Amino acid sequence: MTAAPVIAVRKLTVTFTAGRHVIEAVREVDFEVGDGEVFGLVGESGSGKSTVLRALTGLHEDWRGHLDILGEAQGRRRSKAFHRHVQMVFQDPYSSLHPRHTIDRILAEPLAIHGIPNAAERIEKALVDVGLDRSYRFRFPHQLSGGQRQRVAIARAIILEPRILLLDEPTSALDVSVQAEILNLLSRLKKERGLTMMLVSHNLAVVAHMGDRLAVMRRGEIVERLEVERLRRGEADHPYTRQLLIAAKGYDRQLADTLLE
Amino acid sequence: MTEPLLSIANLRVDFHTETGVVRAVRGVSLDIGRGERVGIVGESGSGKSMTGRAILRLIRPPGVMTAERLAFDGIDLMALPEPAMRHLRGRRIAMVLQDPKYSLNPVMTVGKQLIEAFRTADPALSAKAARTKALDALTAVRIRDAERVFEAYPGALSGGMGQRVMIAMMVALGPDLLIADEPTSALDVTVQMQVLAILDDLVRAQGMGLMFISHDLDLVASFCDRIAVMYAGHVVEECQADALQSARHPYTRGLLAAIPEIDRPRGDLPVLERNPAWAEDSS
Repeated sequence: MTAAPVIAVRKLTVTFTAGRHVIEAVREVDFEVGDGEVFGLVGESGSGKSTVLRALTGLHEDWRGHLDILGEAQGRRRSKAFHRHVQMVFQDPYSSLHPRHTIDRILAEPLAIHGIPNAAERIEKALVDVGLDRSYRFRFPHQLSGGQRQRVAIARAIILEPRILLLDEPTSALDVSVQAEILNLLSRLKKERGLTMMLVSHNLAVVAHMGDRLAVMRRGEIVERLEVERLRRGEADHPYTRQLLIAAKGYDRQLADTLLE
Repeated sequence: MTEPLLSIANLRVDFHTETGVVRAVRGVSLDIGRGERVGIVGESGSGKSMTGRAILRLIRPPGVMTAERLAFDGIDLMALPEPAMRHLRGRRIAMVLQDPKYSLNPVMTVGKQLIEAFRTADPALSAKAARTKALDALTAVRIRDAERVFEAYPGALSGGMGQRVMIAMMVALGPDLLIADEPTSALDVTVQMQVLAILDDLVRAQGMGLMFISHDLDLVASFCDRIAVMYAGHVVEECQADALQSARHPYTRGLLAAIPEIDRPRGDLPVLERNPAWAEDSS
């Protein structure tokens, strides 16, 4: 990383309030993402990995610490320009697309919000960019398969030509053969557009496939930060990362026994 | 040669809908032996769950099931009257589903549900004996604080704990065959390991046959003895689990190639090109 990081997070703590209880879902997390880098955030459910992403994109407001994105310190509310540069893709393409809007309307909305002209042309281009035929434009989400819907969600994210793509488990709801297609699509978009990406996933292999560096989260904290190349060589330092590495390869009786103790 | 615990030949499940017949299972043939762990893998819509349900004869209209043979421990399940079939379900053939959240009654404590299940299976069982049996069952799936879990409502349990409760309920009756439909897919990897270890022990200790339905090829290959790969409602390939990497069918090979792996070189993942011929009936 030579240039200034595109995302710089310092001492980020994210809280949820339930009645009188305040839960710290993320505690004092630090990381940086360089321009054009793919940064993975790995962990099990409840580790806080998605919460980090939601705080970054402004979907969750109860946080403290420092968030610098594209050189600007971020506050509670994000500017319109911020959302033009930072877009998100969610896990479940069944619930992240409006069921009663056509693909055309789904893709037209971000353009209308940002007052971008030539909607029809851009929509067709976005569809082609994500590998969908123009004929999908006037269909409804229920007429599409899971993989096609995720392509629409990606089209919606890239139609504003953002610089940063935040991906929250983008392939976990998909079959492996469809996952491969979506990962290839994301790799291609990254290459063509020089996108910076944050990829949240419970799947180490997906992060190892896509990412440059990663952080492993557990119970709201980052337990280890490492280069993907080191992960691929099995050189993780933290015992938890090593457990995840073994578990990612399938059933392992020895590991299971230590976990049951 | 001893007879397999479960023997299926040419099992079919058709759904008659307004727009035509949907053929969900199209001629599955499969045997499962005692103490054998057989993995059924395939992508969504391949018919693997329907196959599991059909063994328990849980296909509801408009679904219609037929089979040349569906024999469990020498019993012809196709010819079995419904009351006898009901007697078999839970006692001799049990099923664990993916998400304990939907399998357990949310407004009844875990203990009450276990007792209800055990006393339904054995009406002669006293309330006290059922309680002891329930606590033993929870301990058997390595729940340390069995008393607390016994008193808890399902909502207070984690996913892994809920799944252990489900397994405790199913295996306490000592079934000969357990059909586990994606039993660990909703769980974190480390919790998944624990649940699998428990199933592993039960298979070894009780000689239970296990039908393990999953979309996760690596998991099935490392956990099961034998694998059947399903595509478009039928088994396209069967092999020993440790020989999965040398699978021959282009569909299996395509699936294996599409999985990103930590120590595999990067670059684009090979995309599965589906051949319409794979969907054609084998029989």
